[in-house]
Amino acid sequence: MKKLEKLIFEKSVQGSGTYRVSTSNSGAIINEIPDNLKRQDFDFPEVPENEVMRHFLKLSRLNFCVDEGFYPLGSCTMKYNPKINERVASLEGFNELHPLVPMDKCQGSLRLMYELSDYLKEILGMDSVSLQPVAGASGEMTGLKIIREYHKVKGNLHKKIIIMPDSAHGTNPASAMMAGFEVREVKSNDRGGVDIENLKSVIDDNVAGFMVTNPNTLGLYDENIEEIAALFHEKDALLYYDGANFNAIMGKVKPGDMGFDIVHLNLHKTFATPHGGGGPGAGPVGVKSKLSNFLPVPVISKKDNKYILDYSLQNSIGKVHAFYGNFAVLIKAYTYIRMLGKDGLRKSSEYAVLNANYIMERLKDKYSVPYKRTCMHEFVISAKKIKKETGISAMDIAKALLDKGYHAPTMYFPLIVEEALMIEPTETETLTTLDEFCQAMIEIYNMCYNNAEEMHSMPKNTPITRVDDVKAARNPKINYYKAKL
Amino acid sequence: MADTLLYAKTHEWVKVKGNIATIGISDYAQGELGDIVFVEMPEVDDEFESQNSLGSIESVKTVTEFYAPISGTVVEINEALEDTPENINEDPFGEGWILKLKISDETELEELMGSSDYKFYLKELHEEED
Amino acid sequence: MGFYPHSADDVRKMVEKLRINNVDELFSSINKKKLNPEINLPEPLTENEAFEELKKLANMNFSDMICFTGAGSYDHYVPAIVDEISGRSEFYTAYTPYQAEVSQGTLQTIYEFQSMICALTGMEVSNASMYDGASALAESIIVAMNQKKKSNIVLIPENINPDYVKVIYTYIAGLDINVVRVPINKNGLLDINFLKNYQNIGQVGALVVQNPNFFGLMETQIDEIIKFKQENSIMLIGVVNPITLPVFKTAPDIDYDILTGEAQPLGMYRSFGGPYIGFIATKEKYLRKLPGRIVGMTDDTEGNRCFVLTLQAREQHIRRDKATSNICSNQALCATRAAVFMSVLGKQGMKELAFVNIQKARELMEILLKKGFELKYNGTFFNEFVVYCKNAADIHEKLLKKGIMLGIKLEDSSFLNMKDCLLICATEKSSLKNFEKLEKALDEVTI
Repeated sequence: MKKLEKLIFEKSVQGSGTYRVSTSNSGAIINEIPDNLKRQDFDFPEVPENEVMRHFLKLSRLNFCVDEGFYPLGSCTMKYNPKINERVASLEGFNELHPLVPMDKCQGSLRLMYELSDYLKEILGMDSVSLQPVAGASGEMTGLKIIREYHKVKGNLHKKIIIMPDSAHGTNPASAMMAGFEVREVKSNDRGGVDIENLKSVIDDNVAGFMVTNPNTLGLYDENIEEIAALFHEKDALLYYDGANFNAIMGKVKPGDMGFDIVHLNLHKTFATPHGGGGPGAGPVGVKSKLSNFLPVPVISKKDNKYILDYSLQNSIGKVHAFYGNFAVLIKAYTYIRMLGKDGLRKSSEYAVLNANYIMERLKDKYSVPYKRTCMHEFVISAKKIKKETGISAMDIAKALLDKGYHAPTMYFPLIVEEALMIEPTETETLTTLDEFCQAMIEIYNMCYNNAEEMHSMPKNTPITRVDDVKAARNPKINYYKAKL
Repeated sequence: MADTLLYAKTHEWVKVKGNIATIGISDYAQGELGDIVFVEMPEVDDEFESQNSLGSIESVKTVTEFYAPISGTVVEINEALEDTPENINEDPFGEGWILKLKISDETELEELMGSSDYKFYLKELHEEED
Repeated sequence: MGFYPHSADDVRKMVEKLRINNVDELFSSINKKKLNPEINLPEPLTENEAFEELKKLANMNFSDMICFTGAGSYDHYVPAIVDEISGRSEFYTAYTPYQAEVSQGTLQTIYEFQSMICALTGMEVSNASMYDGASALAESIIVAMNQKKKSNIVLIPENINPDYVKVIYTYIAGLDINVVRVPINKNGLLDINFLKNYQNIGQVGALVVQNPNFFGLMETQIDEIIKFKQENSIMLIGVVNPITLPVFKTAPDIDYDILTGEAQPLGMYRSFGGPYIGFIATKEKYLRKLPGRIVGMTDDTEGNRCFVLTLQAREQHIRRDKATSNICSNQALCATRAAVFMSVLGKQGMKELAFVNIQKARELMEILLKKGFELKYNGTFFNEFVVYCKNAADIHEKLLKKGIMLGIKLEDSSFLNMKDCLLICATEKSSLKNFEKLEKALDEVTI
């Protein structure tokens, strides 16, 4: 058995806590609380501060992170997170500011938000931006509520359908459902793009919008996007751009120029703000002018040379966050854009695409690439043939990578490719890193054919081996205090 | 495969006794799902038309709905599946039964496949995949 | 400056390997007329220059104001250990813990967060976090209404955070859920008689109770509320401030079906409104109806106890348009901060925190009563309360000029009929020195 870290609850000793919030006898105040409002029993850990530090430090060492090594997790854009971003986001002027201070007391924050909105408008080719959505899915829901409200205002209540490709990310159909839409899928063609003939057969007057990433989840750019946009616009349906893959085209082409009406971005992917182990992120939404009035409120405006929180949008969908979004994340994205400027952003995408194509080129003789064309910032390989010949699955290959000191690619997505592994290197990796990774992938390929047995038992060098997720789901233990009973 | 059962194209099996139909999913269906971790059931007295969704079956990595092969009213659910959903994997035609319906229209039984037809249907499905 | 390490020689090698002439050939799928558009952005900066620019912006904010304001964002001290741990790369530069073998740090931390949320709330299960208190409540309502498919009304009292209500309206737009507002009584609590006499009771699926409510008051009619919800088989959703819970009655003594709230007080800076962290805790029977990530305990192949994202078949990436929520990324690093905060304060510290907040709010109240304010509502409050005086708006304005923000004017916060009422907050950070400054400033502005 490996030496893992105990639970904080198992380290608890009654009376051993050292941290004090008050040095006076604060407990007397309890007498002012009526008995019928008081809590009787309260079970909670008590651990001295130094032991708390050791506990979480030990836990941190069980994580793999992008500051430790290459993290080619497709569609997640695990690029380097510049450290200056953390420093500026923790300036007291930002993090000690109450969100409800009068507007003349928060001009620095408002100016940052105003300028960031402006930058994003430029980068996206959109006319207005809301910084309020706090994650990609939050942005998607915002965009879809806007689509719903747009048709409602026009009296087109029959427009209830959102079309999306069969390669769409799972949040897309789930977001459409949350906005009260029905989902209709369009098939992909043999180039991995939208099948135009199939699309024509599913578009009708009930379609409210089309939701797509471009490049799509296969990492492929749909060259027919402008034709597709025209087909939807003919029916007064709106085009929604899911910005999960924006790192491919930053500064290279604007979604607004492709014909999109609404865009969300994942600042925690493209704009280098850290993922935090699953958030906080930020999912700003940009729209064309005909939709500006539908954005969540407040937006940031400028009036008499002052920045203001503007609640005056007449068709606003309302609010998607209690305040103005994940402000500290916005600071980091703002700083990143200021440092890179337009050439830096453009070069970032160029190198992201170059890196992805380089790896694909080096691996294509070993791993099958289902769509044989230039990829954008990421690409998908299929282990279907390997599985058939050796019994080694995409999952086994991913786990073997963990043993070699890499994070695994995204597995089993998109759903239209069997045994899929989706690889996204980002622009921040050196050629040496890419070459070493390719070498590791080739070694793993050889192992599939020479030592299949070994492949099934990977990983071995990680803090734990493969987990029993069937047991976890059949008999969920998700609360220590409940498990104890 | 159990020879005396009837099958739907959506891979549910039906065993008829009097006016009660016991329903489960086929061995093929459980194999496709993998380790089943949870079954979401309807409630007793719920009424369903044929091909309505009765509930869903979850494995670790996927979830699928199962459908009423015939119309009817739920008279009993297999409560043991709550604690041991793996019964569906281990004994799909026995301990892994899911629920019992009181049949409302016996003529619908004629729409279902016998075991040899179902075997042929599965074979066709596989040929399509390759 | 940028963060791409390619030397000219590297690029040459890579371009050769790809048998292309230049990098732009990789973008040949893009319409040439649209490629490389003009983008109007400021000139790039070095790190040093960026730091100066950002410092300038930060300094334009009045973050050093004395701030007696809560209303959903609270000025609590953040222990140094919280920043120390959440500032570790291992936590903040990892992705969502999909690969359990190399993510036990995040997974165990989230498991501990879930367990401590359960211990605090008295509920049986919790998820791994939501975006904030507002969206957590909105999603709780959707969960509750999905349990009561034959109903389409959710009852929401007038004393709930008005920004939360706005978020609820946005979330339920397009869904078959209607909001009915429950009026409040003269004590600032929900009008229990309205509930008892409500005609459309058969259509009601859920009742929301904020406790303490937006005015800071603890709900004292809990017994009647429980009777109402049980008799009518309605889902009861509680919205709580987690730092009240070590002291005030909670589940299972109160029969909440879902307890939700904003955990910003547990180690998150106010940070102009975010990132914060919502939580949802519920009864075990609704576990599979929870939105978002959930971490569970299991074993690895060698029998080591370990943790993994579980019950994923509820979620959008598997259930797609049948999922009940679209949430994917949540606020994991905030959950990490909350876990560290709760661990280091521990049982004693968490109680002290509640006590000191209760104490400080009463001290502040005494000062304000002495200076001519009246309490708007009589009742037990936690660390917020509403005061009234006839020129409160004017006083509020004048105090701002002296660097003191004496709460918010409720009139500005959707409570149009509450002219000259201020919602005031004190916390453990409200020092004696600041109380004295307030007293002095009040003397000056009211003369």
